[in-house]
Order: sequence, then structure tokens, then C-alpha cells
Amino acid sequence: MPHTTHTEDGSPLIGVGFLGAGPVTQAIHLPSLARLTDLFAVAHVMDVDGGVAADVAARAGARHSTSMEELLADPRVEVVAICSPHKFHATQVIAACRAGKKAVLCEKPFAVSGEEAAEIAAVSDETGVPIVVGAMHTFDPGWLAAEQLMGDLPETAHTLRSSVVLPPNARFEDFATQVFTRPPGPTRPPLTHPSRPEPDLSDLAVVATMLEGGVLGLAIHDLPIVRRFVPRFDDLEVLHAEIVRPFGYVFLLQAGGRTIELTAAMNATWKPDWTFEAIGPDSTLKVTFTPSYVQAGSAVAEFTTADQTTVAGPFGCNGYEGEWRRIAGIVRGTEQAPDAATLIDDLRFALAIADGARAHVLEAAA
Amino acid sequence: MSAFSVDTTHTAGLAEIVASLPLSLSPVGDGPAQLAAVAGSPGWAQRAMEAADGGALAVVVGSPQTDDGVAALASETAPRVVLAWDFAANPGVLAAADAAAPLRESAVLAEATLAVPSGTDLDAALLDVLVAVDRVAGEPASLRSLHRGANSWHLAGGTRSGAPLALSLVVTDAASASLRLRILTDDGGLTAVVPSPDTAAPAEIRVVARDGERLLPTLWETSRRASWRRAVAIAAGDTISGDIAELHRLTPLAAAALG
Ligand SMILES: NC(=O)c1ccc[n+]([C@@H]2O[C@H](COP(=O)([O-])OP(=O)(O)OC[C@H]3O[C@@H](n4cnc5c(N)ncnc54)[C@H](O)[C@@H]3O)[C@@H](O)[C@H]2O)c1
Repeated sequence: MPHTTHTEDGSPLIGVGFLGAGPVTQAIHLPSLARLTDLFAVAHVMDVDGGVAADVAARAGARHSTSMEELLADPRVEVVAICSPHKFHATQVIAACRAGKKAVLCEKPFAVSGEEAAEIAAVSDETGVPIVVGAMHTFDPGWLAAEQLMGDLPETAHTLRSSVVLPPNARFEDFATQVFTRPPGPTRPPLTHPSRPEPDLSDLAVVATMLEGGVLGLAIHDLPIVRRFVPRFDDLEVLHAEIVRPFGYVFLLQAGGRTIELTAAMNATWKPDWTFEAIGPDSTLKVTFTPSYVQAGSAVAEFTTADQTTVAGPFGCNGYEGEWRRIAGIVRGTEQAPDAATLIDDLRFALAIADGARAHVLEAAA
Repeated sequence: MSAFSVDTTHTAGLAEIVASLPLSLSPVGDGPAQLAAVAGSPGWAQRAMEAADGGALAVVVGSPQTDDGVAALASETAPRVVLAWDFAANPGVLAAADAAAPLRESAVLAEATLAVPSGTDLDAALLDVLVAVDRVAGEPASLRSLHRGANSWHLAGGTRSGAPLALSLVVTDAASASLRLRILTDDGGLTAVVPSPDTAAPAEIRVVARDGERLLPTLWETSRRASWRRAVAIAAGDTISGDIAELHRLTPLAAAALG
């Protein structure tokens, strides 16, 4: 892949640079790009861990470094993919925009605070650099087909339900690739660390932080989809927020006249079950997604009315490939960039839920 | 065994039940029926008592609604009363209850999600869901209403093992009614999808464990037929019903949720 720089028709391959080369880069993005060698070439891999950067770059035949500035200064990097831990996302998005790159792919979550969201909005306006957030389900051909099927359901739905049951990430990372520097020992429990003690759930601050982690780490995948059915969320209310052990949540929300159920359980099961449902008076939509990491094809969408169910999918590719194809289209000028204001509102929606959950948990105790 | 008589003329759908249990049930000729069908509209407890006092060997209450008279049902009558819940009496729920028993202690989440057509009495539907949850996930330790609107009712509580319990009753005319129960443990769980009481389509009960997923044998019987079979067994003296005791036990939880 890396050794050619042009497609068969002579147009140059789009150079990609990675900030952060952990499991997501290794298991999600490199395999996705390996399906799109007619569009992209990995040019540069940066990680604060030089060993990871060097190994992952070698896999892709790319340059490596431990400095963001070096990567952003590399003219072969046209698209920057931000795959570092959450707290670095906003700074790196802003730096990539200021570096005048052709597009930025930022893994979810886009940012972790309202202030960061506002800063990104300003920089995106000022620089005009297109930004794509790695909410892969929004690019999944199964969901895109659902959008075509669902008629007036976004206006009529009264109940939205996002339900996620997932094995530990490592199960699917290991199906998708061979991860460099996997922490030794048994598979990592999600969002906790083997060396960390069991969280103290009697401490409400711990509960609130875990709920926030659940929203920004997991629920966030489908919140942009939920928001398609929620006309406004300035009146968002968290009616219930609870932890599912060892990691997960049960939320009940009200916003814009809709009731929203968010449920997740990440544990030692082998069986993933990831669905989104929208329920209206005379129609319902159910979208069943494939698990993260693996190239397991698209979601399946089922749209049901009183007398029939229409099924779309599965299609051969998932939302990871979808997001990269979209980026190629944006860079080539054949596709529109997502509306930055929409992406920022998606993030604000997630932050409003996390903040509401914190307030709810602390108030319930007061 | 001779068939027990029932009056099929006053209860919609009963002729079909009799036709599906012809060796056990027969339409009444002259004289009072041996098995009584009582409508589940309010006042059913009183009517069930009257039927038993009138000589019925067993009483089947169709789709029970909330009724203050439950506590007053005489202790001799209660064991002869079958509550024909639309969902909780589905034979698949009873099978799921057995399969779920070993999972209850280690449950990390229990859920019940009901979809019903517009016009459904949600108070009655909650009782049905609560009985189904009691049978499969075990008696809830707590329950409270979070939000009730024209189109949905959401409740939260906890299981005896301390796991969150989430109940959701949602109204839609797309597709037929169904109840989904789910118990998740740390490494698997059980899901039961129970179809509309109008059909003999089987409930789908799947148990996930470390070594794989098991679909329990499918039972092609409506909840109503299963309830009438139980009434026949009660009339024959083979068993007694714990339905009234169960409802009585769950009444404080339901009352708290109903507010
Ligand atoms: N879209 C998806 O399906 C999906 C799935 C899981 C995680 N994610 C997101 O992807 C991101 C990365 O996830 P991960 O599991 O690979 O995380 P990780 O923390 O395991 O790995 C991140 C990598 O970034 C490196 N790093 C740390 N600080 C850095 C910095 N300042 N600049 C550059 N690199 C830095 C680390 O050394 C590590 O190699 C997270 O934001 C996560 O939310 C997305």
C-alpha cells in the first residue's frame, strides 16, 4: 500500500497521518485503509510512545515520529486522523485545522467539554478545514439505508432506544489485527485497568465519572443517530442514571418531547448485541449494528409499519470504510463535508447527558 | 378423563380454546359450567368468588386488570383461580423462568420491554409485565415510575441481587404486541421474546453462556390455551394455582408504581 503514491488513473493517493497509534489505529483504521488502497496511503504515524509509532508505521510503510508538530509539518500528510486518548482530541483537531490540512478525522468523542466544542467551532469556521468525527455508525450503509426508508418517523417517533451489549474490546481488536504492545495478562476489562482496584460505587463522584465515561466512550457512538429523532435538547432532563456492573449504564432521558432509553453492558460475554430503535405511533425502525473493530459488513435496518417490514442490508462494508470513503470524497471535492455545527451539537448533546447524569446522581443523594 | 364443561357463548375466543382442547373441555349443555370464564375487567375478583361459590371447580380470569378485591379473595377460592395474563402466562415465560433461575444471583441487569397497540390499558399491562418479571428475573426489590406519557411508561427498580431493573411499556400500532425480557449476567444471560397473546407463535428464549447460545424448545401455544390447561389440571385435582398469591405479593410494588 505505502509504496505507490498514485492511483491507476494517475491521481495521487491521499496521504494520511495518524496522531495516536493504539488499538483503534491498528485494529480499525489500518485494516480499513488496507481495503481502500486505491484511495489512500498512510504517510506518517505519530505516537507519544516511540516504539508503537515505529512498529505501526513499519506495518504501513510510513514515516514515524513522536511529535505532533513533525507530523503536521509533513507535506505528505493531507488528512490527519486523531486516535489519541479523549483529552487530546480538541487540541489536536485545532492544530490539524490550523496546519491547513485537507481534512481531519477525529475519533469520538470530538472533545470533552463545552468550551472545547466552542473553540473547535471557531477554528473550523475560521480555517474551513472539513472535520469528520469517527461516529462510524452514522456512515454505516445500513443506517444510511434506514434514513431512506424511515419516512416521517424522525418527526413522529416518541421513544428512542439505544442498547449496547459488548464483550471486552480486546476480543474484537484481536479478530481485526495483531495489536502491538497489548498490555500483558488476560483481556483488559473495558475502561478500567487491571492494576486499578474495583471502583467504589458507594462514592457518588465515582459513579458520576463512570456514567460520564459511559456517555462519552460508548453511548456517543449512537447519540448522533438518536439526535436525528430529537428536535431539540435544550430541555433535556435525565430522569434516571445508573451504573451496570462491571461497566455500563441505564439512562432514561426526556428531550424535545421524546423519551430516550440508553442501555449498555460491557462485560465478559462473547455475544455482542448492538441495536438502535425508534418507535412511533405507526412505524418503528430497528437497526442492528455489527461490533466495533471487525470488518463484518454493515448494520441491518428493519422498518416496520402495520402491514409490512422492509429490510435493508447487510451491505458488504461497515461505517469505518464509509467514513474513509466520505473523506476521500471530501478531499476530491465530490462530497460535502459534514456540517460542523451538527457535529458540535452532537457533542453538546452528549455533554448535556453526562452533565445531567452527574447532577441527577448527586441530587438523588442530597 | 371426561371433559369439563365451559360456557363458550359469553366469552370471545373461548370456542377456539375448547376446539383446541376437545378431550379436556366441552361446551356446556344444560346446567352450570364446571369451569368458569371470568372477564378481567375491574370487579373480577368478586366475580371469580361468585363463580367458585356457584360450584365452579376452577376459574379462569382473562387478561386481569387492577382490582382492589384481590386481597379479599377467600383462601379456599384463590388456589382455584387461574389468571390468564396475556404475556406472563405464555408457556415460554414459564420455560424461561426455569432457565433463568440459576442466572438471577449473578444478574447485572434485568429489563422488560413491552410494545402494545394504542388503546391498551397500561395499568393492566404493567401488572402483566410485573408478573412476567417476577417469574423470570425474580421478585423485584423495588420499583418506581419515572415517566408516564400518552405513548409510553418507564419504570426503574432493582432486582434482589442488586442489579438495575428497567421496565418500558411503549405504545405503537406498527407490528403486533410483544414482550421482551432480558437478564444479563457478567458472561451471558437470557432473552425471551414473547409474542402477542393472539397467536400461537412460540416465545423465543435464548440462553447465552460461555460455551454458546441455546434456543429453548419452541412451544406453539397461546397464553390462553396454556391457562385453560392449567384450569383443567386444577379441576382434576392435579395441582393448585399460586396466581392470586403471586399477584397479592406483587400488589405493593404495583401500587407504588401506579402512585
Ligand atoms: N470508533 C470506534 O469504534 C472506537 C472504538 C474504541 C475507541 N475509540 C476511540 O479512539 C481513541 C483511541 O482509542 P484506543 O483504544 O486506541 O486508545 P488507547 O488509549 O489504547 O491508545 C491511544 C494511543 O495514543 C497514544 N497517545 C497518548 N497520548 C497521545 C498524544 N498526546 N498524542 C498522540 N498519541 C498519544 C498512546 O500511546 C496510545 O498508543 C479514543 O478516543 C477512543 O474513544 C473509537
